Amino acid sequence: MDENDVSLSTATRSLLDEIGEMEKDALTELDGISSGQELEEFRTRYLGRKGLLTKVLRRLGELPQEERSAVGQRANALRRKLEEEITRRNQTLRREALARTLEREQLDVTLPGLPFRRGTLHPLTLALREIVDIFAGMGFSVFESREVETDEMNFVLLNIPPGHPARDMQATFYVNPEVVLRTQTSPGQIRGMRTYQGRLPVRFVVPGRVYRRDPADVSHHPVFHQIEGIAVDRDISFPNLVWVLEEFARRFFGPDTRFRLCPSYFPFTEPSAQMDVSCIICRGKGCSVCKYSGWLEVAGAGMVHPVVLRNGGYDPTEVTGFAFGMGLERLAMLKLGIDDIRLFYSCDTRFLRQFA
Amino acid sequence: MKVPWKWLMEYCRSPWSVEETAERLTMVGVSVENVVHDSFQGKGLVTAKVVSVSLHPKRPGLSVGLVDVGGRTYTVVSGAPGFKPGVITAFAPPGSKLPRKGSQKKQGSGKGDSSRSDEEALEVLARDVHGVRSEGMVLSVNEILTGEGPRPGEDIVIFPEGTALGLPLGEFLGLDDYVLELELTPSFSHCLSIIGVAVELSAISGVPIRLPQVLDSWSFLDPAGSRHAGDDHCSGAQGGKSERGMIEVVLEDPDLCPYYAGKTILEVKWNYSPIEVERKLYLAGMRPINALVDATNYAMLETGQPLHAFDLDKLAGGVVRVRRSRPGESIITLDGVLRELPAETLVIADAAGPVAIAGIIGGKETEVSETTHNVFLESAWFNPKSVRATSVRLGLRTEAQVRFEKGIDPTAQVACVERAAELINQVSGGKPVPGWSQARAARPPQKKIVLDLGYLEKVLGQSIGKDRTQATLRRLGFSVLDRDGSLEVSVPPRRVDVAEQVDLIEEVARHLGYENFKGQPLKVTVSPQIPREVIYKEQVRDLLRSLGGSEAVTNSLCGPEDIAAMGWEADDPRANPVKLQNPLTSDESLLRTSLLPGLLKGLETNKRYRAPGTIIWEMGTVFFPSKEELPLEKLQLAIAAWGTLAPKTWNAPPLEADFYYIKGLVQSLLAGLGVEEVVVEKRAGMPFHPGRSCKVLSKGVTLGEMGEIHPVVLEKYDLDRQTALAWLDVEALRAMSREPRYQPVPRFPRVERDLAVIAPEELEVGTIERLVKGEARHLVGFRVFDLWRGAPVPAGKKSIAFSMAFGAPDRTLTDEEVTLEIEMIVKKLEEKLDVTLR
Repeated sequence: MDENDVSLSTATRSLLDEIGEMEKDALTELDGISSGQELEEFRTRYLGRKGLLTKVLRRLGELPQEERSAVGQRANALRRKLEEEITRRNQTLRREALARTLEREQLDVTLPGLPFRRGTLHPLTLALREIVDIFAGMGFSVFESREVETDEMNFVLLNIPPGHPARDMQATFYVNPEVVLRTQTSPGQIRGMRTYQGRLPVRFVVPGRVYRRDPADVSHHPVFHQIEGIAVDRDISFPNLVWVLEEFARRFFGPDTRFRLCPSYFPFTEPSAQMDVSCIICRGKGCSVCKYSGWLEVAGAGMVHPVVLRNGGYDPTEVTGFAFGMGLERLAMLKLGIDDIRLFYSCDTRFLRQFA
Repeated sequence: MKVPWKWLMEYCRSPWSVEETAERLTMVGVSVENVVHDSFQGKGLVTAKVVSVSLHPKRPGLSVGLVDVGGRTYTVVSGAPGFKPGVITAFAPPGSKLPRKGSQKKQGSGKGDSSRSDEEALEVLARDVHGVRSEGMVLSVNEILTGEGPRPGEDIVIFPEGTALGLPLGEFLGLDDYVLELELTPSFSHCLSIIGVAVELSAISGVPIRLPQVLDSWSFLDPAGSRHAGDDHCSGAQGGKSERGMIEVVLEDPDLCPYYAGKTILEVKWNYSPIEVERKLYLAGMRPINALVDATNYAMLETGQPLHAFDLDKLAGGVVRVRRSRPGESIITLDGVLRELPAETLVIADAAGPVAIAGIIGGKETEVSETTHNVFLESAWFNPKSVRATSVRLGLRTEAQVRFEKGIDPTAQVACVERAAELINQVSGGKPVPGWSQARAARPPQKKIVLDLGYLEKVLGQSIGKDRTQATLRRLGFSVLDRDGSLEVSVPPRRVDVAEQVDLIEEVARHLGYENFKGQPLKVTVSPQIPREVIYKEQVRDLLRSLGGSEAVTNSLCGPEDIAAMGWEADDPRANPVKLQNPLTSDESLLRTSLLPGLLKGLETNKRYRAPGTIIWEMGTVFFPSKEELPLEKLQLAIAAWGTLAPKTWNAPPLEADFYYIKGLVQSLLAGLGVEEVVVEKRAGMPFHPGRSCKVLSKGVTLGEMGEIHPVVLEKYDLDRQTALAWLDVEALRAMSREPRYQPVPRFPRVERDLAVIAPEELEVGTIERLVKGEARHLVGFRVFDLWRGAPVPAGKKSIAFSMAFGAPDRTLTDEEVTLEIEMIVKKLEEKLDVTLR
């Protein structure tokens, strides 16, 4: 049914015609609407209680009875259509508005963010954590020992009696003739062993500060750090020591590191050994760091001397043990490629902040 | 110890190259630090014959001669007495080069380049000598080896008749050599001699050792000790005194010298050593002096036994006494220094007084010289501890002293002095007097050790077997008897380092080769124990890292100035540090009592580098004197911040190191550590600003102090006002830290209310906060969000605005409840403090 249907009454046709015109006008008008407010006005004008469409519906009474329902349907169809179009238009408008808002709100992302400050740990702390982890993985506990020691603990009980030439290997600071700044973490072997009170197995590392009366230069500092380790049990043998040192070197310096064990001398171990690793700097080709030997000494070690076992409260005919000691600075320098030991003590944040 | 390669090869010919030999020696513990190629630096020097000589036309004492280098002749002017027709000598033609002055002595180890051939040499030019053109020079040994002129009384070198002419000197004399530079541990004193190293090389290679005949016949390496060393074989002190050249030897202090032997050689001819001897001495790091002294040094380097040559005729009274020095005695030593002799110094004295410091250095008055005719060679065994103590007291180290101190063969004195006598006899002639002037107070014990094979294999963790063990020990000069399960091992006296079973185990292990021990994992697995205090320290470190500072490590040693700078009262324990007896410098003469001085210096360092600001912290030990034997050690944490820690950026204000910065940092740290009930008390001691500092306490326990630096302290440092510090006692922190425990999460929303009050200027916000917290019933949060002074707030007053949060665990509080509570708080504030609602 439409306005051209000649079977309809003139009034009906006219009204249908008006509705058709209204639809055309409304759709055209809708296209031009660019804000939510206009859209609301539009809705009121057409669909409100006094709106144009309502007015049309009020005139239904003027039509012949049998034609009213058809015209009513036509008007209601237009209402639904306009409502849909308004909704659609509304969504479009909001989308466009959002797009404009987003466009307006954009920032210069190249400007820096808020300046959060990350702190840093000292490279020696980082190295020590790694080392302690490696040894903990092999069952070593941690024992910390004091820095000022008796001459007896630092030397005598470690089989270095007064006048022993080995005392020359370690220039010693004295507080008085009986008290020294420990020259090595080795007195921790005795103090640590004694805490076990004869129990087995004994297995611990002693990290800490040590002191030598050497003026500071690129490779010496009167204060530095060592980490000592000892294992005592009924059947500890030299090959166990070899394993622990190799395992350490591989894990700390990487799986490709080559190492060797040479005889050495420490009064508190016998046999004694030193572990060299292939020079990290030149990869064994020879450089000033390794004095052109391709090797770097990283650890002193050996089987615990019977005298030391006895002084720690163990019977050397019953048990055996091994011990080792390493310089923490040296390990860190080799691993990180640091060429001057004094940097560790410099407090220079240009150095300190390089390590996480 | 420097071992010239060719010298070593005289006793044991290595089947390997120099480098491989060095490597193999290192692997048995004879640590070769460096192999130096010491090439002869002279160029174009040749053998030449003097064919004719005539007097110099103008200069008496000079001769003009023709020398023939085998096909070509040169005219040469020389004043040397040996410049005679028919003599074959060394010749430097024009254009040839002499080694540079002193370069032979320059044996310092590795500057990187292991060859010294690149050093410059002195070019020889034809020159006019008083009207005669001299085409080159005829040379003395000193010129050949050092490039320096002939020494007093030194003639040109004379080669045997029949020596071919024109031979390059370097090759003819074999002057190219290698030097193994050993870095020996104290246990390797038996390698402080070329023969000692040769014994090790022989044991590694299986190549038998060859000794000079005289040493061999004196059983120098015999495990039983030199069998001729007994008194019965020789003229003793008493018996020999009547004989010409014999000296009476008196051992007054046999504990320091149990054995002393002297050998007399009469009518020696004063001389310099042959070129090969001088070259060897140079390579071994010693300077040739004259043939007599050189012979003693040569024999010492060869055998390890230090020897000393006296001019016999200068020893007064025909006696030497080995005794402790007497009060007031002094001696001018060979180096020309007058030395007061400290008490307990062992000396060799003649009838007139000390003539040598035993085992260390001889006296100037009795030294051998050009005028020496009769020489007395000393070969003794001195107590190592005594030699060491004397050396330390005098601050004097010599080649002899090092060997005595580390320990020498106590049985080899006679063998070694005979060797030196033989060398002197070869070069300087003379008549060795048979027998020795000697005295012996004690015989060295023969060392026997029982080696339990079961124990050996237990320690070494592998089956080695009796035969291999025996063979290894025998190659090193031990004699071994098989006693069922164990071996009875006699130790050669030269091995002073071997005293017990474990020492033998090391001998076996090192010669089996450490590289042949395969690692074996530890059998028992044990779970490691990390002490709680260690874990706690790492927790503190992690927290501080998260708060933005850089961990530092500073010296534990400090100086009086560091302590004085802090401004502590004289009776403050921190002003009374533990002192070192033998500091290196005054700056490092005390043990730190606080970490702050070290960190302040650290801040200065960063300021020097133009950092805008720095925050560093350290956790470390501080030390205090105690009544106990050992000082008190305490673990401290300190934080030091200076300057602008984070400069202003386009979107953030700058972060300055002031009181509230350091306070916030410490508060965050304490909260992270679970320290409860933290309160601050105004005014910390030095080095803090009294009005901008506080103590930190928890439950009445002082944890530390923090605040800005005192202006007086600041003056001592190159810093500025913006410096804030804190120190905390880590043990106290740990005691006050609580492990976190679960608290029910509030189920009901909290209500926030703000309040602004006007308070007198002097009223601390903390007082208000305490009162509010004390009076409120449901307060769960308190936050100061504004502080204002000035209009419209009247002078002397300040406005404080704070936000309070209220909540209850079982319900949502009603507005009425909260309002009532706030009204009550306001009332109390007005009543108890001079505070009004704004």
